[in-house]
Amino acid sequence: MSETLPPPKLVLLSLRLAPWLLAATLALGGVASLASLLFSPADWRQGETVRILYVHVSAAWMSLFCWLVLAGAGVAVLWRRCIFSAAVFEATAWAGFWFTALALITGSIWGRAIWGLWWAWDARLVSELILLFLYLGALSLPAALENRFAGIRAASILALVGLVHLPIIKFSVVWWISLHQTSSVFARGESRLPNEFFAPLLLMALTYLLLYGTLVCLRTPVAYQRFLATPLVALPSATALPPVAPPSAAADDGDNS
Amino acid sequence: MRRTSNREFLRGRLLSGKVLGGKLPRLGLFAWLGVGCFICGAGFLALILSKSLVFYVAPSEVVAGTARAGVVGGRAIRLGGLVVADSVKTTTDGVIFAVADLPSRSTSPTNRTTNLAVVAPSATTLTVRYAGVLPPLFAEGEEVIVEGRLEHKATQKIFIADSVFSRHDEEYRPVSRTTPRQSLYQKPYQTPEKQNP
Repeated sequence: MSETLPPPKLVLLSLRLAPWLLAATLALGGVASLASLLFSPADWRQGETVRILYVHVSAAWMSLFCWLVLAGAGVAVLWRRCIFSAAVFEATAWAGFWFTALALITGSIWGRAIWGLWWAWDARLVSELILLFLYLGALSLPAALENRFAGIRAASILALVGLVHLPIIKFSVVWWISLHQTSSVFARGESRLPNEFFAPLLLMALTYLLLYGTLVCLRTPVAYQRFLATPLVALPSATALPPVAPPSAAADDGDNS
Repeated sequence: MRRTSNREFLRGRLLSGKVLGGKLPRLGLFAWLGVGCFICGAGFLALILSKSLVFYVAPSEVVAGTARAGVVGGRAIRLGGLVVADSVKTTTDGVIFAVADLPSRSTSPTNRTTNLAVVAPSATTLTVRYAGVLPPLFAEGEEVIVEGRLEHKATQKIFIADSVFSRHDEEYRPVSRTTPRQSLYQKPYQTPEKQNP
């Protein structure tokens, strides 16, 4: 086997970074919340409902971003058979799943308030829902296969093929006649989102990015440990493996003490 | 000896990593990727070309009878357009308003801010009758989605709506910085009755 073990320094680094990232997330999150709730003006048509924009759009951006990271980690998993990337893959899939769910839920609430609809079979809404299912697939494939690393390899192929879906989501509102509005920030010509709205959105998006970093730094070491505990060569028996081996076994395998 | 079913065989292959595990040749992997991308791309192209992903049809299409998409179920159609200026009237049968085609999606952004100005007097409009609660964003010059059916009364075509929703475009503006020109067409939300004194 040609598995290349990355230095456990990366795992230690993510553990060391986690509290700092968490603190930064909370601090920036506080500022972003104040900006969204107090600084941001009301919209001329939507009124105070416009504040959903900050949580919704940030979550939607992150849902696309996480899939990009997923594909990047997938390349490392397939090409270098990197266990650390597999752990990052798993952590990112979880984060992406929740960001997508958050985008769908907040969008639904906004849609009820503005359109008068909780849900519509609209191109943008359906393509985002498909992304949620893709995340579910990327999460469940490793769990479905007995050999966890083989599962991650399968999920990596899904992540790479799923890249095709990202432009479909992004341009669904342009290519098809949709209920969902087109992008305000990346509109042709000038931005359709004045700075009063854009500044809190930017703060919130950065908060989400930090939150993603925190989640990855917290979860990657756990996933890494589990990959080491799982034999990389598949066992012929179908018996379930213990989820986490004793620390001594992990330390022997990965020189991670 | 117990006979192995296809499913068990496949499961064994999967578990031993012979399909997606360590023994997949590099070329095979890219072939997998290629096939996946091809299927996705082909399906996606088919979707674009069929133009079946249309959430609503334009009033002119409904009037001309060329609307092939947008059928919700039975005879019901989903119609989308602009509420024409000075067309909203409240009657005992419900509210009546005219819907015109949205300005073309290819028009420049500057045209899109003055939606009402884009509706030419000669433009095809469709009269809609609706007895129900209007969505909060409903106003003249705003985009509206109407679900219902077309009825012919004598020479007139009238659209009987079962439900009315709003569509929000990508234009955001602080309440304090709403320019007078736009407020002529698109007022901040008021009840529809108050907009036509």
